Amino acid sequence: VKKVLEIALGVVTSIGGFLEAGSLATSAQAGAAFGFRLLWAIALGTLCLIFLVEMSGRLAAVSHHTIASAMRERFGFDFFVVPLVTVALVSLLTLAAELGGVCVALQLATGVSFPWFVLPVLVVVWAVLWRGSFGQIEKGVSLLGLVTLAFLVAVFRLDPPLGEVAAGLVPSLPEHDAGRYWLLAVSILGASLTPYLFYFYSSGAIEDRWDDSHLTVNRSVAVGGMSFGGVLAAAVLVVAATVFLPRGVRVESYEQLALLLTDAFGAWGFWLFVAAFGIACLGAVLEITLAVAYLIAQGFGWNWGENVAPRDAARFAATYTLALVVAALPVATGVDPLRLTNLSMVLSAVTLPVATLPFLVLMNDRKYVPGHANGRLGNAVVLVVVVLACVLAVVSLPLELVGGG
Amino acid sequence: MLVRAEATLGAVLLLSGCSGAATAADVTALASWAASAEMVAEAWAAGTVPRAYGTRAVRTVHHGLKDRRRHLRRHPVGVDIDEALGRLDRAVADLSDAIERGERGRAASTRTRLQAEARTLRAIAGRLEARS
Repeated sequence: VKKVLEIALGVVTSIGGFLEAGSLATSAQAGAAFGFRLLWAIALGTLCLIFLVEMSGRLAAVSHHTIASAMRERFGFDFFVVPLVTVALVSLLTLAAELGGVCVALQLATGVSFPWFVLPVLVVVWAVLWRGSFGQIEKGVSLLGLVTLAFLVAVFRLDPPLGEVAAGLVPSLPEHDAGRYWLLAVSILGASLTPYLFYFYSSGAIEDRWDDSHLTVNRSVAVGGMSFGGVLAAAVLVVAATVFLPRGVRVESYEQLALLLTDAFGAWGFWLFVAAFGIACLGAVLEITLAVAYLIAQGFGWNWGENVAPRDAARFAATYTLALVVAALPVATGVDPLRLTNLSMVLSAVTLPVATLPFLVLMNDRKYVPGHANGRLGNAVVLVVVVLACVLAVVSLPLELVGGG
Repeated sequence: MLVRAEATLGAVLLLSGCSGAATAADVTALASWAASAEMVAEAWAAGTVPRAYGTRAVRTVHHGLKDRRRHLRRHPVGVDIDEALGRLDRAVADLSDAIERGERGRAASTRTRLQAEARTLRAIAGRLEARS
């Protein structure tokens, strides 16, 4: 019974914690511009994420290493510094985008400009990190994040044509705006596979003291949680395709996005969106801040852990404090959070090989995962999707420039 | 070289076209802003969004239209859209005023005008796309 409860809680928190500014914005932009046609990108990204999350949990449970510490040990610091710097920079940019998302949610609710909220949000997030434990942060925010299920309910209320929705799962070439189509596909893949996700997951598994006995929980959470999470991202795309596309609205600001649920829920729709968006972004802010601190602390061999008192992991606490301050700068100066989100998702896709390929090597090293090394299918899926996302990102940028999307 | 690098960065940031030939995309974007204003008018008239949101959303539409028009001025489309844009500007200003004064009925009637301008701009964008 305890195991079943653990699995259920893991799956539920994964669902609640899946959506964030990146997946929400890119899915909505894709739906508004191309209808259901980019659903395949969400399906592909989710499939790859299931493998990556399962691998990172398996690595932690079997080797008792996080990805960062195992990489550093296996390849040496001189090599590890490349993924360390790359993932840290992309994660900081993503953190800025998510922080901007929380502030935009407050702006939507009050009408007060989003930069005014940076400082109060920063203080609240920092206090939660300083005082809270890993379990409280992970489960608390993720359970609140279940409000994002509103997007799934909206799909049923809007009753989209199911045949067309299903057809969107099959990759197809665009009829117009090829550059924008591929760039959105890349952004969706970048949003689904943001490296902080699986780096964070492996650190969380160590925080929760996982061992071999958690392999079933790990597999269930990876498959169940990420699949349902992917369904939520797909729901956002379907709702945007149903609400925005027929009206000719292309999403270029969060103010437009705020009307996503009003057709389905009327007056409740606006507030549901604000709550779902704000909570999803807040959860992502907490997770990414911790992920950056985990990565850097593990990379340099410092004491780390959200379950450790700050005075016993001072450099870890200083790192998340500094990460928050750095990420707050662009938001405080008024940089458009949606543009930050789009930029961070594309960069996330471009840098995927740097973050994941050394990890794949680790997962095939029997010294780290004795008896639990990757199968061919897992290797192939991750390799193909990661290389595809990177190549598409590099190719679609000039296409977008020439095509003028 | 520097100009090209800036253009590339711009494309990434905007997720929209920056090329001089991208005029159809600009007009489509103008139509999108008009349609967004129409959605805001509809939501405000129905009482489904608060006034603070309505005011800010109309301001965002105004800025979006201004940005696109600035780009269009540098790369003229070759067809006269000034008249349609003038009507659109007046409708957006009326919507802003209606929200400010809390006049839901006026917002509802402005919605019809915004809908018409969005349709006009979409038709122009369609013609430009066919021409290119």
